[in-house]
Amino acid sequence: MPTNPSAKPTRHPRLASRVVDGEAVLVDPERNVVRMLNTVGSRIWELADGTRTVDEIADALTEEFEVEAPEARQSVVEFVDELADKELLVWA
Amino acid sequence: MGETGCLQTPVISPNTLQLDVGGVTLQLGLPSEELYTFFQAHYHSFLSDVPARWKVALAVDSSLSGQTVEWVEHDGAVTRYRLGSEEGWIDLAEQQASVTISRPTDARMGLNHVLSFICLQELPRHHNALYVHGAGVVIDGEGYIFFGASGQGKSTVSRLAEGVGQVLSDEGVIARLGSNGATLASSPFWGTGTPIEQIRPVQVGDVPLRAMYSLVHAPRFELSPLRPAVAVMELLTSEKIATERVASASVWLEVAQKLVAEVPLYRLGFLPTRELWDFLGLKKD
Repeated sequence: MPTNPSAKPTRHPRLASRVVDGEAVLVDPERNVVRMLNTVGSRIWELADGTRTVDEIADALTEEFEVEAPEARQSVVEFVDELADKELLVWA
Repeated sequence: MGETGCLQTPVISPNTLQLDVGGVTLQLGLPSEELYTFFQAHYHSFLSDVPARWKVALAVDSSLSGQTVEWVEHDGAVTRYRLGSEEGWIDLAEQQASVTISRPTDARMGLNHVLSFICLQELPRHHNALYVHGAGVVIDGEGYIFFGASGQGKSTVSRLAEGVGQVLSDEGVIARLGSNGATLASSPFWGTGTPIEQIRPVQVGDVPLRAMYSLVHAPRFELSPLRPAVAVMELLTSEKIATERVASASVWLEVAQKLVAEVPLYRLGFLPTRELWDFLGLKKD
């Protein structure tokens, strides 16, 4: 299902995670999987705390990474969709 | 699947020993005087009279002999497991554990499994430290950890360190964060395949921890500094059992993040020769 720009993604409670020097490390004990996110993905992960909409996360990226708003929104939507498919993010 | 139902409080026999492993205090109940005598010598450097937080019972049951099934399950605060002819449980909430082996000669392996699991859990929670699946070596008063999953070379590096430095263990050591930076401490847990005559458990307190190396067998010596997040990943993949629950993983990650900020971590490609110490610049003159 396409991501609603006003939806608020948040990290799945099944996971433990830590952003280490700008890079997120995720641990999924139930599935015995660990993974690391790239810099932009890590920032989205940090911002996806259930209080911000997809649009608000994209706005923050626009300011921090010097990208145009449409590009930032596209990146956030794709990333959030992917992580929601993998059940790493859920909707608050 | 494992058995369900209530866990029985471990029966602590008259043959009890008390250990202190990096601040984790354990009372061991042993089923015979022979095993008591063996472990009294084996854990000699770690014996303590500090009141123990944990109670751990060891039992022998020959009916487990010949079993091959292996499983681990986590149910709330309780972990139950079967590893062939060994079975046990650890209750993190009640701080009790029990391990049963099929014959007395497997007692060291059985206790190693349970006690190191307890240290994996307790050290990050209560002692600002990690139990690292690695070999610890002290050279000229400074500590180094060589870590990796089984087969990556911990025992090899330990053998190569003979005469170069003091080997604290070829299997598991403690990395601690304190007011004076990161330090290395010993554990009594050596590899289960290590011949008993090569094991020299020694209580070494906190020595400065100078570097940690993630071991990789390679065609030549290579050293690559790791970014902090990659360093955490390498530590994670060497010992994922530390993060079997969300609560365990969260506290483990918190301490690991602080550790990699304090100590340089490298990926070390190595050959099984004593040139290793020249390559690392650690050889004694």
